[in-house]
Amino acid sequence: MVLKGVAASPGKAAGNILVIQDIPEYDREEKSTAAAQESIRRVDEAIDELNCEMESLSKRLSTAGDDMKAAMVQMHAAMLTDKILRTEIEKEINRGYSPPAAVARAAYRQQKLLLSLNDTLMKERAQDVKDVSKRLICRLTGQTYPDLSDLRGEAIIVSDNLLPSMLTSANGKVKGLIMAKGSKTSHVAILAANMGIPAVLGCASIENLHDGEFVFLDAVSGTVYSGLSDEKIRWARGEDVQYRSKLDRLSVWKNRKSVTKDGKRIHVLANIMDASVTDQLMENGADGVGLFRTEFLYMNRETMPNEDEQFVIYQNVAKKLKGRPLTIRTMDIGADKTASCLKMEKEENPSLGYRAIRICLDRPEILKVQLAAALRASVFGKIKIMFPMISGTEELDRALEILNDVKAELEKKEIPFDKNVSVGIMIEVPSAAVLADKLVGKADFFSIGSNDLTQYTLAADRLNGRVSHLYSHLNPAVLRLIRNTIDTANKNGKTCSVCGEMAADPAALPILIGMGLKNISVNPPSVLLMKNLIGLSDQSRLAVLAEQAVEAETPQQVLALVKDTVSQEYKNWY
Amino acid sequence: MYSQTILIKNPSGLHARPATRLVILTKKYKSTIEIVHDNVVVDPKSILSLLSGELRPGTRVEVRAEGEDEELAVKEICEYIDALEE
Repeated sequence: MVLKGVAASPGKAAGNILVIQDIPEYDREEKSTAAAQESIRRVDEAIDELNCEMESLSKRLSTAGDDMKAAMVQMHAAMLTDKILRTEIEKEINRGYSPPAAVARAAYRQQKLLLSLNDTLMKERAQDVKDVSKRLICRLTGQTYPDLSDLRGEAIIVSDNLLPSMLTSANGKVKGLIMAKGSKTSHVAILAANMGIPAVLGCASIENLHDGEFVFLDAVSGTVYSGLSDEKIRWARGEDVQYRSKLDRLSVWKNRKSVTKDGKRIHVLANIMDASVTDQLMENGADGVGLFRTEFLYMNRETMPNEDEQFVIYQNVAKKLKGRPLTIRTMDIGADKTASCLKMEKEENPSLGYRAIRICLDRPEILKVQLAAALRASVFGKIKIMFPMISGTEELDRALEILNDVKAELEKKEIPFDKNVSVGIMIEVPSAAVLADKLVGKADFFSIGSNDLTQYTLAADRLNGRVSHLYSHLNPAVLRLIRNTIDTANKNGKTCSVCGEMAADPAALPILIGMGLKNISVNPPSVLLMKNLIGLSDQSRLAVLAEQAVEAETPQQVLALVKDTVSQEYKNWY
Repeated sequence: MYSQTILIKNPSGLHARPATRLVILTKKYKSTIEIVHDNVVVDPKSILSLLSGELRPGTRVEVRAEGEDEELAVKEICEYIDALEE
């Protein structure tokens, strides 16, 4: 049987499962005839007791260097002793409810409040309130709280909704986690990732899994395999071992700079959608951020993000990068994305319509706010500004004019910024690739957006099942446009990078290296693999491959050329 | 009454970890303290109040205190918020 869920913490594990039953919700209508004062005293006593235990646990965890867990326990202790919660519990007791019911009622109200906020992080805190309240209720009723701190053998935990505190107290025997509820931003997911425990959350049909049975957990694809034959079990154990071994081999690249076999330095940067993955990319030794997609700033909100909000975000990421470049792409939204603050009208053809820089040049106030925020942040790190969807010199000229206006305004207000901030463009509209020689004088760098470039060049929507077979970034037409762009940049001493999916495609990388590309920008999980592949490449050999590739007629021919050229060792990685 | 305005700059705003430390910090002051922005009033001595107060990065807040240690409380709280990095 195959169950699907969300890969919330990466990894693979093969082993036997342990099913943890949920603690049922306490009856919130239960009344008590005991004196209110006595009930309140009991609650206070239980809170004190539990608080003491949490404090000693948090001290133990801190001493052991387990800061993440310690902080979580401290937060739980703060929730347990929260004055508002205490007031609410007392109110419910005075209304005649029993101590556990009063706690359940008060906690429920606080959970609802947190769930009503338009903030994923805060919604997760509701789980923490639930966790704390369940512990307190168990203390009041004398029920035992499930304990993972004493597991005898290794186990993959299966639960409807495991509470975070159970994971913090878990000993090293937890091999994996499968939950029916939860998502990537759940506290449990974060804890699991921190502890290196593979986890699949939001998993369908877990009631079909039985205590003690053997499963294979693939928390890379978000799949759980159960009911395996002996042969399959051997396969699963093999996958487990293989995965761990690959990770180990790639981890040597964390602190190494990616250089080809013949000594050519190729930078591997990362594409990010928000600030949260910055730590991960720094850990994997990425050379910087080659694309900071700023769309999230505008999505799912009624009002536009103001200068302060944007400045704070850019500044934080810039600081974390410790001098490595942060390439901020200005707003790249069209009618196909939900950004209600932009008040976009429906369009017949959004990918060929009013989007990105076109909106910004038409409504410069949007661009000015973003540029001002980026410039202010440039004092805190190496900011680069990038304009998307540029189709010709007029647009670039106009955008640069607006940038100069913003610089002048900041100077008048005596707000500091990097006067030599680097400004470049995305090459994704084919006309820009064709006229690269006219654009290169006005831009500090080019970044090739291979997804859109391929789409526009072949006039095929990769999401349209009928024509997606036409979409391929290995199509020689696309390769020629890319070669032209790279050549133009190199001849004029400007930087060029590729930031679309092509950059993380092991079959395309050899061609790009062969064309003389010196920078790629990929999603953080791909950084180590790409560094490894670069280390297995010989640029001068690949230059020959690149020349052959652009003379091919079809993407299939190109792929065959790549396969014939790269070493077996290279091929083993994909 | 003493008050001061400060900008919340750190990436996750006043979420779990910074909020917990702020509660521990403010509990020792005798004054009643409020953190105000737009129409929201937050009691920093309560973690639940802080978490539901939507104190996101980029928000300018007013820290107000009333009591014998009001000036110290406001100053130290503002220093704490200003120094947040995570």
